[in-house]
Amino acid sequence: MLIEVEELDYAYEKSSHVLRNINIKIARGEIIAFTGKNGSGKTTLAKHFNGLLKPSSGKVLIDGKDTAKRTVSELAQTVGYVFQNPDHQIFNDTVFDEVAFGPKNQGITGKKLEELVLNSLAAVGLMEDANLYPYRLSKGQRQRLALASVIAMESDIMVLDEPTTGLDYKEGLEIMELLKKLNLKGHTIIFITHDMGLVADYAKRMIVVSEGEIIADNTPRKVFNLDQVIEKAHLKIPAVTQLARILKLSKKTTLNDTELFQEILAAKEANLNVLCS
Amino acid sequence: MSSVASYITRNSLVHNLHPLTKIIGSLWFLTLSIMVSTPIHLMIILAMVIFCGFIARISIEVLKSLKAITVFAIIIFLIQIVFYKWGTVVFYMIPVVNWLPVTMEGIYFGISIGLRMMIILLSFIIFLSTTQTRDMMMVLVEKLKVPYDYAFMFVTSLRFIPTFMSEVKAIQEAQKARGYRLEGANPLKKIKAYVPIALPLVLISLAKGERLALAMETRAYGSGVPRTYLKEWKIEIKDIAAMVLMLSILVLAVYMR
Repeated sequence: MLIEVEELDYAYEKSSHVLRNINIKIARGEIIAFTGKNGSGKTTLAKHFNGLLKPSSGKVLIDGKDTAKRTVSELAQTVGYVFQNPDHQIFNDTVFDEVAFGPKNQGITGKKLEELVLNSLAAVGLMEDANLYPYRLSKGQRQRLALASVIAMESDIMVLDEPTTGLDYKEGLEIMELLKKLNLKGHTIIFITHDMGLVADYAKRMIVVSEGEIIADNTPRKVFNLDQVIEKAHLKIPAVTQLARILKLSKKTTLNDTELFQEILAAKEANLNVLCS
Repeated sequence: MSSVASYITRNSLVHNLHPLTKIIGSLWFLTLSIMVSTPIHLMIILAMVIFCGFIARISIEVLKSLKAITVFAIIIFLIQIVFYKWGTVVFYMIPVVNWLPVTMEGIYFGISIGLRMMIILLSFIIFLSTTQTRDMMMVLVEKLKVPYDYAFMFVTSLRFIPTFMSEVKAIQEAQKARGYRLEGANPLKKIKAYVPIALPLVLISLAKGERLALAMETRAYGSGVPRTYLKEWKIEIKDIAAMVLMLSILVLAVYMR
């Protein structure tokens, strides 16, 4: 197991528990969505993976090593973390230098560094902007720049806190497609989101956090069916899924429009007048 | 430390005092601590400040701040005893060659300076954490006749301290996640190492300031209409009592000098 969380408890102050009894096992190559309403503790949980927060009790093991005994910069080799606001990290004069900061901290120099940086810039589509001043870029581009600066560190695990918030549809899609590609290359991806459409399209597994506890950990298809969980975590399942459910097409939960069409066709073959039911 | 200088909602005697009384109180502590110079008397004044914190029912917060301030006080004390050269020498920092003498007077002086700083800082922290921003504005503008723009600047800058603290934390986390380390043997490198934290902070702050100005203008800031205040404060008996007490102690302190 790449990530193992055992009976994790976390409290900012002694009195109030933010996380309670969290147990997760994440294997190499998974792509997982963390969801839940604001303040549920999903970001707090994610910050344990790269050691920004240490467990009050319990254990977080990354690649078999306890995070409590390692510093954030050590863990950064294995766990990359992209924050919500890219402006919290951008400080260099050029896009190139910004991306180079992470690998430089890892002690990479010269040709190897240049290669890494250019490859990551190419991956996020910012190749042409390498010599620009980062604040010249749009919000979406800055978000991708932040992503590139983590990609360049070649960490096995990548955690992204709401990677598409504040972006338009196309920009959001580009980021998610990029994550999918990285996942296919073998990176383990964990992303936090409120957008169930993204979860349906990209996540193989979703973890629902509510009031500091995990209330569901399964495939999106299964979780979308758990009405109580959806209600408790204030989630809004995709419109397509809702439509399919109202149409009572089949027992299977529908995740996207392609599946919906297929089911409509199947229903038609079975001579059911779907659209009038 | 992120709660420093921000209002703490409690119901206490200190909270209910007229803001003017409290601002005079802070200045009174400042005056007293400058007038008095013996460590023992300064200790008594510090105890009074802490006592005020207890009356204000913010004892936990006051003790937390006290802990942080003590560190600074100790640093100041150490600097003072190194640079104070006059009086009876107690020992030398570098004994063999008799360099950097530490004198009895230096130690006294260092303790006094440290205590003074603690008194001044702590009394203002108590003032800030028991007075709401809008009341502070009211006192500054209506009672002390500070021009509204300046009062607003002062109060806003205080209001932003906790915001910047959390901003610094977020930036630190973002850079640490990229393998950033704040280490380095020589001080010059250390200063350079702060760039990844300082630069985003400055840029974010500028953007924040700009947005604040915009938001204020869209809500008719500076339209020239006389301002009114949500809560009208009246000087009550407890305020008069507090001021009489302060005045008499001040007179006593002058007399004892």
